[in-house]
Amino acid sequence: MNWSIRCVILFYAISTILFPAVSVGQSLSEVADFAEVQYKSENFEVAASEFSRALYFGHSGQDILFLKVANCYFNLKNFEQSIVFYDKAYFASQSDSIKNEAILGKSFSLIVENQWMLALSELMNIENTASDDQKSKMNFLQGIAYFGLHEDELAESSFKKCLNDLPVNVDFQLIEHEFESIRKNEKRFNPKTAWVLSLIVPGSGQFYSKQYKDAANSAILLGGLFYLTVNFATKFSFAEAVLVMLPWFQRYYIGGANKAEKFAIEQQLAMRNNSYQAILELLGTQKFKESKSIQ
Amino acid sequence: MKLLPATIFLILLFCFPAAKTFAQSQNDIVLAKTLFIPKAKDDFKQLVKVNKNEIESTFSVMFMFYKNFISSQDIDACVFQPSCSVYAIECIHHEKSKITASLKIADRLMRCHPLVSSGSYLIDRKTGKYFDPIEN
Repeated sequence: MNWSIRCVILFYAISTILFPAVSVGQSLSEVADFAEVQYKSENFEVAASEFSRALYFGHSGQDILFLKVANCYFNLKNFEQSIVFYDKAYFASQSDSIKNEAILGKSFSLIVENQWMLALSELMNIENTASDDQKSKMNFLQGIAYFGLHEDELAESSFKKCLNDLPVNVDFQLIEHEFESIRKNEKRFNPKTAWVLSLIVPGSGQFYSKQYKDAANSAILLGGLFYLTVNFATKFSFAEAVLVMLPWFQRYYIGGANKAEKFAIEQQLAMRNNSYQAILELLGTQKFKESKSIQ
Repeated sequence: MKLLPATIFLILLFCFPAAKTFAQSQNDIVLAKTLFIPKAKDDFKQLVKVNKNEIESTFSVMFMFYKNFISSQDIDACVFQPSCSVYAIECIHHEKSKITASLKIADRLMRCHPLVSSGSYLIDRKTGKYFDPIEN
């Protein structure tokens, strides 16, 4: 073997013995710190995977880590996963504060998934030792869940309680006014009335629900079908007119009534949403600031 | 004298009400605002946006007329998702041969009845109807 090659091999052998390669891995706390930085910079996808990594390798403070993973999924709008991790945080924790946070997070996730009843049952687990902020949030979530269940009186009282927790005297008139307008609109756009009206005079149900184009459409269509039925009856026979036209007439007659009912429900929901937006506007920080400055 | 600033600070602290932040963050409020927004209606215009020839244009006009003035007043009778009219306009636009498209539409119309064999189709979770897109 060539001398130069021998020297190179010897050099590598000696340096390997003298200076062993020390692999420097990240410690668990470094992983958690990195995840925390990602979390603060709202890079939730990376934060969730890094927190999960820290959890997998047994980093201390598992309950907080579970809570943070759940918050990451919540912010990523992956509510199914956030519910799972809020549950894990709840069962891993001994602290009431963390348990309450987990319940609030889980309830909010359930609310976003339209699981109103489940959210309410979760909120009942909030401990009495909850902080003022947690109680306020509980009332806020209860208000939304009751609103989703159309339990308007309970929703109203929950939203009022939510405002009651604030250190300023907020006027409840706006909330009362909004819920009053919801009640009025529910009477004004009664789906059953719309349905019956449409059966009596086709199109009138849609007119009642303020869908004027659709009302005209229904009236013209059914008027045309009625004309054709009469035409058939006079030209041929009544039995033939019934056999040929009745299925069509029945189809659009009932269809129109159903549509009128649907429009009334849509109007109710649209009005409910408007009132809900106004209430949340009041609950939002901006309005809170305004009411504070007025004082 | 050294305690004077601290005393003044404490007096001021207890004299003024604490500036308490509202429990709901702005993000919570923003998310909560989206919960009861009414669902957007189906936009059928998307289906007839691109017409390659006169046949497609004619069918698109017919489809829009049917959807706006006839189907809108009808009972919800179609057992499939997408509905037969949507299936038909998709066939017209996606099938190269209009004869194949016509055959597919005729086949679909014949299959659309309440006695359709339920085991042959997946069920669309949103509508509860049998899922039968043109790819089937």
